[in-house]
Amino acid sequence: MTEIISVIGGKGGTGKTLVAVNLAYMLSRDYRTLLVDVDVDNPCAMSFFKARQLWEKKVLEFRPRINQDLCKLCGTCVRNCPEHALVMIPGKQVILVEELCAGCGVCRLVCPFDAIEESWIEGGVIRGYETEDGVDLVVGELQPTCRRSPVMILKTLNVVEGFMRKYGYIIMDAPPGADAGIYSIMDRSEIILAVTEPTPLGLMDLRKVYRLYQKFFHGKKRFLVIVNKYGLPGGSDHETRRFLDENGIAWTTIPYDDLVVRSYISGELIIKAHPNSEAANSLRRVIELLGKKI
Amino acid sequence: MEIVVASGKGGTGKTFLASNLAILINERLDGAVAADADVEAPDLVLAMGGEKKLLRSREIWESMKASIDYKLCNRCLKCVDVCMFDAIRLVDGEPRIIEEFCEGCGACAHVCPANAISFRRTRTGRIYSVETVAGVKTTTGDLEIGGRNTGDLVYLVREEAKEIARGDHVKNIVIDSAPGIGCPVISSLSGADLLIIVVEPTSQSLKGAKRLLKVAESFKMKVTYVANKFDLNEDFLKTIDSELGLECVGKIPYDSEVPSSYSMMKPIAIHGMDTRAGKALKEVFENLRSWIT
Repeated sequence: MTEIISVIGGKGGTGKTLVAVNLAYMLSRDYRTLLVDVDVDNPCAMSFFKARQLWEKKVLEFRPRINQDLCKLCGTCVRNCPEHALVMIPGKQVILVEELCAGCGVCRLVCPFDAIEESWIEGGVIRGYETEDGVDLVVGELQPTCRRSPVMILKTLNVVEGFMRKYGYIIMDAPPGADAGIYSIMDRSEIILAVTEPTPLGLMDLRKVYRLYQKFFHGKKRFLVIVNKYGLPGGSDHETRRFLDENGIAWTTIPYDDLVVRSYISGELIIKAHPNSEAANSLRRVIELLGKKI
Repeated sequence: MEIVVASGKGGTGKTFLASNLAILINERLDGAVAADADVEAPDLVLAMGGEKKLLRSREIWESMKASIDYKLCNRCLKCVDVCMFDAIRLVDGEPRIIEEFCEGCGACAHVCPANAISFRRTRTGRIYSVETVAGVKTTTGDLEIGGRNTGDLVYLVREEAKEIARGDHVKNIVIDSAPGIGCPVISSLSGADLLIIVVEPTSQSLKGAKRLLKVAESFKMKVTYVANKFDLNEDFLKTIDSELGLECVGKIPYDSEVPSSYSMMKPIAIHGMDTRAGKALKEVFENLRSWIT
């Protein structure tokens, strides 16, 4: 039985990757574990492992190529393009504004003269790795200048679905935010682990991902919270705690600790490099929060 | 002039820099309007001391979503094959629209031989402008939870901020971008004049900055960077400098007064210019003058 745990956060920089990589490492001691980095805009989980690449899969995005010999300048594609990415230069030609194109392919479908040929650009790449720590890793990475992060996330999730059954646990390291991409990650998970920080900004964004959970997944999935940087000087521990308790959300903390910051900078797994630290203990409490034994 | 504060990686201090820069430019240069383009997690107003007065607010219903009339659908499944966004799935022999993934592009309707697919408008989100306690008028976009069309919403946020700036005869707009390099970020950069990348001294943040720089290169804009929390890992600053190849307009140390300033909703630019972070901020502002004017 495979269990999928997604680590989300709303706000950026709350410690999603910190939790995801250490959690994956802990679970991999007893279970076959796959870590999926779906922060496709800036995937960083790799920096915590010595990894060897096993495979690579390119994600292609459609782009129209206009065959000028066949084009009659009728303007049908220009009118139907939902992104207004096709522009008519009257009497001359139709041109594509590459940055606006979403790759939907409508232009090709509506062209009455079959003047639009398909071409494909690399929208991103998905890579599979094995690591020296025993955690397997899949990384989805958006090609800079491509825009469709939610599509890239979905493609990565679809690839993982093909072989996820062989794992006991799958940990998904999500991007910040609360859009359709986060929805699709939550949709595939059994447990949603939201990492927040005790600041008004962190709390505001936690509320937002909690609303996302309530709107679509309430009663269907578990929603748990980790308050990272707990005890941050000048932070708002109290307000965060009150929100969590008022909503009956189970939570735990990771203390504000220089060691966590230093481990992050040097790309080490805190649970492995400093197993007796308070930070490592608090990460082990995340396992308890999940109701797991290792 | 439109100034974008962005970062590639999340949590590097975009909102910190954007809010305080907007306040300083507003008070000490020729005025500023701020725009929160992080429509999935908009925090800029909070960072500027909160809302003093709501100026305007409107709902945006621009997201088109496909829906299937199953009385007409002949189960040919052409729509499933044509959708580039995996938004139509086969469930029990029937095509099923997954609304959260639907881009509303219309490809499915074009191939449907039974005319069974129509479109309806759904909520994209909300755009509102407030006067903040810090005195800077700020336009914010708030995306519908689980929504798409972040780029469209960012575009509208920028348009509204420009409108306010024109009305007030203010020259500068400070845009607080979303993290990452995707749709909302590209929409923040397109047509803007200056990009300030906020970098932390970590390899993860540098990676994000480099990816962002690659995106910015496709636009004609000036680019500089600020090293935030630089004293956490000072040795790394040289690496950042050589790998980005950009002029640095300032280094801000880690200072616990920064999270305090959020919790108490007292922006550093107003209440903490004598703190370490405040002094560094002033330097960034002074260095930026020549870029802005």
